[in-house]
Amino acid sequence: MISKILKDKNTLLYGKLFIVSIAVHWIIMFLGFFVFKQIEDPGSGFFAFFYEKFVVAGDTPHYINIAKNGYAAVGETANQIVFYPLYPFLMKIFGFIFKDYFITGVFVSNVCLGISAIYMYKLCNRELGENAAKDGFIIYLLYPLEAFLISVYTESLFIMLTLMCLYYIRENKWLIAGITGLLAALSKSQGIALFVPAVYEAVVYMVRNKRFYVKSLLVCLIPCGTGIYLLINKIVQGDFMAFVAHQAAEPWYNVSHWISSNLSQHYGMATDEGLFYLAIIIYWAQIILYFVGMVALFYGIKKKIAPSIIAFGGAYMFLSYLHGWLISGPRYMLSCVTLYIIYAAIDNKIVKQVIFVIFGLLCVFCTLLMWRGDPIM
Amino acid sequence: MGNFIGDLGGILMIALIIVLAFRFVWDIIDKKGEAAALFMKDFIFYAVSAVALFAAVFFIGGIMFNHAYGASSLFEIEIIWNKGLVQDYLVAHKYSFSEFAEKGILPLFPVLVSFFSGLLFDMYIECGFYISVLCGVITTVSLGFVLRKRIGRGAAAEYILLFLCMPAMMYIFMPSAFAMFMALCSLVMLGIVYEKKWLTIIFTALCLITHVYGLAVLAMVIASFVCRGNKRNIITAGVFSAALLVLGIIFLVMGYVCIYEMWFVYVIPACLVLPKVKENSNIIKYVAFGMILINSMYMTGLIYNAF
Repeated sequence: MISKILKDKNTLLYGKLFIVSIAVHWIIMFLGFFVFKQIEDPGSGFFAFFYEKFVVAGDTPHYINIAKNGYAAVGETANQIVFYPLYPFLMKIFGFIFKDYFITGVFVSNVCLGISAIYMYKLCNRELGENAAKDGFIIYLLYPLEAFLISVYTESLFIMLTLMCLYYIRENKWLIAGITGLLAALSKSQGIALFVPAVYEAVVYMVRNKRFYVKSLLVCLIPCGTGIYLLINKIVQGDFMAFVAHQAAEPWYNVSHWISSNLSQHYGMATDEGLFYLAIIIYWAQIILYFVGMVALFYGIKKKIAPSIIAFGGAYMFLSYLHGWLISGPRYMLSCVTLYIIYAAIDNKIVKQVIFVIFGLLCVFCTLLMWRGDPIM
Repeated sequence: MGNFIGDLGGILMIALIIVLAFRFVWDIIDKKGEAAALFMKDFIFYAVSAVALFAAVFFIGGIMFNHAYGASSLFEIEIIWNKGLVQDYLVAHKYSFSEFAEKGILPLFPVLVSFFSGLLFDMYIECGFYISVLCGVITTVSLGFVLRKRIGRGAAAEYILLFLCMPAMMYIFMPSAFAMFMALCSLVMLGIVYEKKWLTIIFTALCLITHVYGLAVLAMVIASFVCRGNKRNIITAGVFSAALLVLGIIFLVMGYVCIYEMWFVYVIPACLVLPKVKENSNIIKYVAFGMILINSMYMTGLIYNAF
């Protein structure tokens, strides 16, 4: 197996992609830190301050606690069952090596980021060719909220599994697609969205070959991931849907509403003068990303990108924007991998350049905000 | 502005779902060359016609209501369209067997809407509305293909436009079990015309748990299975019409169906017997013109609670 990998002519390329993707993210982090240092004194060096700042940021303490203590049936941390189990499970496993769950989480995220970059390249290359694949890879590195991919968040794991699943779905390798999809569904609620492209491709594959392939039923492993998560809810808290009540309660207030109501709500929050500061980095960003995403998906259809990949993007956005009181829209959209592929398919060099510049300018800015501890969620 | 942004976002998502559904059908049909292109073209034509005409009726109805009763969002269907079949749906949203006893409402539609509204949204009415719009599109596309198979592309397109001009056509897009029944029944017809037995049986079963007229569909399907030859379509349509008439009278007396349901449902058997029209004939256009005027009158009366 290893000799086969080493003999592969692309191994060197994949190795470079792996290293470059991680390196670029850390360089952006450092640039953000550098600017931050000009504004205020962090009081410690880069890595020490990174640890100090990010170990308490956003969802990170929750993941660390789950890795350390598992899900709780009752008590203050019972609501942490809303976080999907795969990422903290990996932290638990690798925690035996690093003895520090934050460092373990950073390690897991970085490895997943590197692999996800390889699969981003492979998928874009498969769909659009080598040149476009480079563009897809580059824009993926420049997404303004890149810090989530190297810190203790499930995002890089989810993106890696999603890209792998989509790649193997397109290759019609149903077993590995089912397994990666199952794992994706165990790492984030939107993982179930992979079932849409999987069923799509499986049906089209069978119709084209004019026979029924039992193996294609392996795509049904994908909803099994969500099923396992529901089962964990049942085992730990006695109710398959226990997470729903927790999500609806403080501090998330997440209740599913139809997209129209949610967008109206975002607009209301965005134009609320009292929330001016949050408006730009959360609410306006969510509204703009939604419409940009939708336009991009239609553009992707026009550009004849595989419908299953577009369908994933649509299903992913659909599930993401069903969240009432959404405050993590920009982070959620980071994982909408279809959009990177659509970017890669843009022919117009000016448009491509404009998007590239916007992303590039924003990524250090957003990283700076994260260093400052601004509410980027 | 907030409502506009929300509605625009919702509409974009629905449009994306519909476009991807078309693409899916395109992929699984797997026909080569011109036939596939024509199939897709017709598919899009029927679906877009349905959505466009419905949108027009919906929009005009909203404007009429606003003019009559003062400002209200065009999308507040529970206020504007709280009439007739929609009213039945609104009271039946917590389905129980007493609903069947009192109004003859069968479970599939309310249960389906409850399921989705529980799973995805906490807005029952909107959920029912989106399902019904989808049902309306399915009805139009299915009947379009039934006609296309029988009398060709050109005539089918004209009949579909006529069908969408008929008085009270908006009810096939409005939340009610009847909208879902029309969709399922037209899929049964599609199964009969394209001779897909399993498809026919499955959709017949669904019809039976959607609307009391499901019994008439069962009779039609049995007739279509028994009959063969040139007169199959006429006999099938005849059996269906007769069953609808008998059941319609019984259920009208019992208060299970309304007059509108009684006659509008005949669109379906009509698709089996409608004749070809001569090229360059304007007869369908004239009929459509008359229909749209009656429709206008019907809708105005409906908004002003005259009917």
